[in-house]
Amino acid sequence: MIREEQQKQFSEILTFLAQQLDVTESEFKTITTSYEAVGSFLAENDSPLKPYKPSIHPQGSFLLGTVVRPICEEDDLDIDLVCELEKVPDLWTQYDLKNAVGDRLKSSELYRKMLDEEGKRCWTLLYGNNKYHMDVLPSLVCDNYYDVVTRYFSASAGKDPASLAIHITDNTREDYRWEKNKDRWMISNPFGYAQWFLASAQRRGKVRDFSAEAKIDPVPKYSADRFVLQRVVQLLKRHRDIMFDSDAYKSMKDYKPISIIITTLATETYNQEHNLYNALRHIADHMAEKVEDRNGVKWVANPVNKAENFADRWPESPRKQMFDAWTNKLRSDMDKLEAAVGNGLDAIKKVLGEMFGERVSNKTYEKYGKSLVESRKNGNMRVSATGTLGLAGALNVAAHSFYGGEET
Amino acid sequence: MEAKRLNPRAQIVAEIGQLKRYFPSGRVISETTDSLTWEVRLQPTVSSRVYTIKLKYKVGEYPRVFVTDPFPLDRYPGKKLLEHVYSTPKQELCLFMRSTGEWTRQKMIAKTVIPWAAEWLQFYELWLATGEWYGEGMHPQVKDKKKKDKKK
Repeated sequence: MIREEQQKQFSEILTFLAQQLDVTESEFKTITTSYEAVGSFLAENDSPLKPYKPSIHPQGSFLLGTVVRPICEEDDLDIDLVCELEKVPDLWTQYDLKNAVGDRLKSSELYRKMLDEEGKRCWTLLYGNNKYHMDVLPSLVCDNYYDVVTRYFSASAGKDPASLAIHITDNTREDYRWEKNKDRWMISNPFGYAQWFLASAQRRGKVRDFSAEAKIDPVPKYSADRFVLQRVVQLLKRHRDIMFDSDAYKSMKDYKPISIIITTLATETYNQEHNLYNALRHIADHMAEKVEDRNGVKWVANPVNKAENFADRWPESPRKQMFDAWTNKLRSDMDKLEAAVGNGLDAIKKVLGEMFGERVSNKTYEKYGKSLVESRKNGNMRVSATGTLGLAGALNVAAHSFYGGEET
Repeated sequence: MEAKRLNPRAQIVAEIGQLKRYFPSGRVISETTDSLTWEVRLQPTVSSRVYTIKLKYKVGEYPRVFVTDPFPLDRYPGKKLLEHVYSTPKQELCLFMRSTGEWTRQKMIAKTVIPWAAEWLQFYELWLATGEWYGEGMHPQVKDKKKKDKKK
């Protein structure tokens, strides 16, 4: 067990680290501009989709505030979007809905060139210069869907997540080309899930500087600050990415724990800690306990659709073993981190590098180091009787410059 | 309040008084009418190592600070020299610019040099982790360096 001041120092360093994993403000703006442009194009006056009131909204990690950059700098950021259509013709099948969106995109010279191969459920647009790609998920929604979403996000009580469910297409399904009854299509609930996650994060854990009144928003607004739970999920995902990129686990990459499982278990385990390190430690220690066992079958239920099991692919693969391997490694890495206390910031960085990657750990220490100098320059750095620097202590550290170079 | 310029003995007594007040775990190793040697253990951050530093001060000269434990200090792999020291083998720290008034005889060592030593140790650990010195500071003029190189 480490002391409270040590937990605070870890939290500070881990916050800098998680910030390195996040989208930057300029990326956020570019991505927003891009998806708004797609939305506008789909809804233009001459668009065949116009009668169905098409709109585009982000879902997934971009909406949850849990984006982690890919390990390899050259890889793209992956942005998930929902394309909502209302009141489509009764005779439309999934094929019709999917291709109505696809055809509209292809009718633009610009978007036609950016389209990747058709996906199972999505159309993917590749933004080559900007280093991200967007998965557009065509969906059928109820009338005035987005008003329903907005009200749902802002109301504090009486939540029926099923009211936000959407119908989506899947071109591997047997009924893809003929099922006209929309109630038999696959359902998904990205906004219901997002509301559940963001409400869980907000109810409990404000980070300093984060306005307590910040309403959770179905449309993400840029913020450099995040809730503690968002930071934990970022760190967990990154730890998983590094582990399954390592030589020991590379061959098992296809079976790594999926992000929705990590996010769901973390949220269910989160115990309202305000301290990032404590939250991470607690979740690392206990998240596996939240996996249910229903008559021998492992379940990670979708919190907004209890009939859906996120772990449904566990039985026929090594996924369960990989999940266990990951949680075990996570716990043992955190033990190593705690064992490094008292051995210096360099010993700590070694463990951080193993857990989250060398490059991001270097960048983290750079940010941390610069913040320490700023703190002293602002007159906020104090020193205690043990020579320990921080916000407490009898003495203020006066202005000075390190000098030297060697004299012989 | 200290007088504008204390006589050497009074200066030494005052310095020791302040050192004992702010860093009570330190100890005086030797003391004369105009000089003192003092030692203390410092832990720059709550997760850092504990270091021992030795202060040598003679009235009329600049205070000098040495890291005596660990001895030698680890270096970042590939780097032979420590950053911001007067001497790597002696581990004498370079904590302020002389002749600029950053430190003067009127400023108590306990309130200036010792906190700066703690800060040096903090940035030392970051340097040991990354090879970069984040504490800012200055390096001597190029012509001083050339003089040193010639001496070799």
